[in-house]
Amino acid sequence: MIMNKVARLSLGVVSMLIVGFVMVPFAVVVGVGLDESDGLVFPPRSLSITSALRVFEEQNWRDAIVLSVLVGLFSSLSAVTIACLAMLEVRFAANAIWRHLMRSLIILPAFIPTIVYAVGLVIMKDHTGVPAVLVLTAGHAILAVPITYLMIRVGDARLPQSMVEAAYLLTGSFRSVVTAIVLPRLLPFFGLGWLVALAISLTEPILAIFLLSDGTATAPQLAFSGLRFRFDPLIFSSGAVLSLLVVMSAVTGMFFWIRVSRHEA
Amino acid sequence: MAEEFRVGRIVTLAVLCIAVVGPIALLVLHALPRYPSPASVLATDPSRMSLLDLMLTAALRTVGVSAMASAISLPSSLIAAFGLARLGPVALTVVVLVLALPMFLNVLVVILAWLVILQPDGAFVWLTTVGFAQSLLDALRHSTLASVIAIVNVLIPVQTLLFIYSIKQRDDSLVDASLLLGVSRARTFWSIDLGLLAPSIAGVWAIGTLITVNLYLIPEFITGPKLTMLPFLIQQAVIQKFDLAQAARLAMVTMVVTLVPILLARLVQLRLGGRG
Repeated sequence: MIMNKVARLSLGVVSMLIVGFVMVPFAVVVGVGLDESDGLVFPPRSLSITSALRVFEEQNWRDAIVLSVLVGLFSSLSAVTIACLAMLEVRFAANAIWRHLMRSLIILPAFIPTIVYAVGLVIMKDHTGVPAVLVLTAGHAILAVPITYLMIRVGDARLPQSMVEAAYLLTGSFRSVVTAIVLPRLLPFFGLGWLVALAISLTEPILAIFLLSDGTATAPQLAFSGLRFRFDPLIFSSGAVLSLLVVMSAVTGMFFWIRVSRHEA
Repeated sequence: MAEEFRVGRIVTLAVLCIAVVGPIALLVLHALPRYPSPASVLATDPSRMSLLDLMLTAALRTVGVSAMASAISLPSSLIAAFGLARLGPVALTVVVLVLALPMFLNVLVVILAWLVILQPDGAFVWLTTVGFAQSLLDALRHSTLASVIAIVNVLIPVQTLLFIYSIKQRDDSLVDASLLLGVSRARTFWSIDLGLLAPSIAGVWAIGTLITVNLYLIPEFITGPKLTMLPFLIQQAVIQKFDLAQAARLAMVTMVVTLVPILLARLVQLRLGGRG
């Protein structure tokens, strides 16, 4: 019995140490990015959000962050729309082949290395002449689609089939079932999926490196370009800003999750 | 009911075909027709031998690094998952959130952090004053191990979350039955806990290798050219040489390289009789 308790306690301690190890880079970047001194100091002597906001004083960093946020917003909304349509198809399509085809297509991007997809997008951009920012937005949306779809499917799996069938019997309209029952009940999951897609787009560097020039870079792309030449404290400020944006997304995501749990309770 | 959804279906399929299948199809078309056999390449242009050597070396390195990093992170992820899966719903939600954060911030944050940690006379120089061996930091700097540790840092959250999901899917009554039948805790853990997770372990390892291929910037920044992976050659072909045909060929090789662990894991799962 005592051995069991010791084993459980040890397992708990080791698990927390592993979680701590995972958080080290995050703590270092946020710490260095928020430190008021100009050098790379860790642990930070004094934390201040203003030091992270220095990144907005530089024109190229400001443009890069604005572009990242815009691409993130459009790509995440596109990802949620595609994932939602695919979920409806998988749920309601009578033909099993359609369902399998849709499921395979929507999950496929998760199994394609990002670098391979990036080369494909560069070739597509060259062939079609579509502006690079649009291709990047579509690319980020596709990268986020599998995980967004899975999140929406989690919500869909919790939706009782009997409720959907009863609504269809009562209204006789597919549109009413979707707009009055399915979509409102899945709203928190759309929110979660949207936040995840936004976080993916905000921090994804590879597609941007391939598609955009340094003159019209996203924030992660600019950080990598800068890293090649020198240690610029602004890179850490941008890292801290991106980290804080993702933390905000995560906290909002938790709010959605708690809302779902309360709703179900 | 589905007939009313015809427009949505067509739109979704069109978008996915254009945005997912389109680039990959163009990539294949770009690579295959012009892809000569290695023998013919060497016969016509011996100078390309170094390119083939480089590609082969990078491919082997990519397989090696991704397989190794994914395998190294598996035990830590398993231990963490077993420890965290016991938590209550609220604590588990918080832990999942904490693990999800580094998952999304992975490449940039990990590279920045490890560059700071390993920088000579940098932010972490104080470690030497509290007894941390300077020689250890010196040995890690630009080493393969440093990159592997950084990659493991990215893989652990993803693999832990996947293992937590698998553990939660497990039927706990099997463990109870085993203990009631008098089987020791250690034997139960080996046969039931780990035994049921075996197909998942193979799958999670394969996912880890796939993710590692996407993390090619980590070895490039932390270790340097001696650990250049195949995807970085693709980046050089596109960004520096503007040679899309070569990039497409390298991308095809990368696809094959990433398929190997997935197929291996699938074979293991089929042998174990689980879906994983």
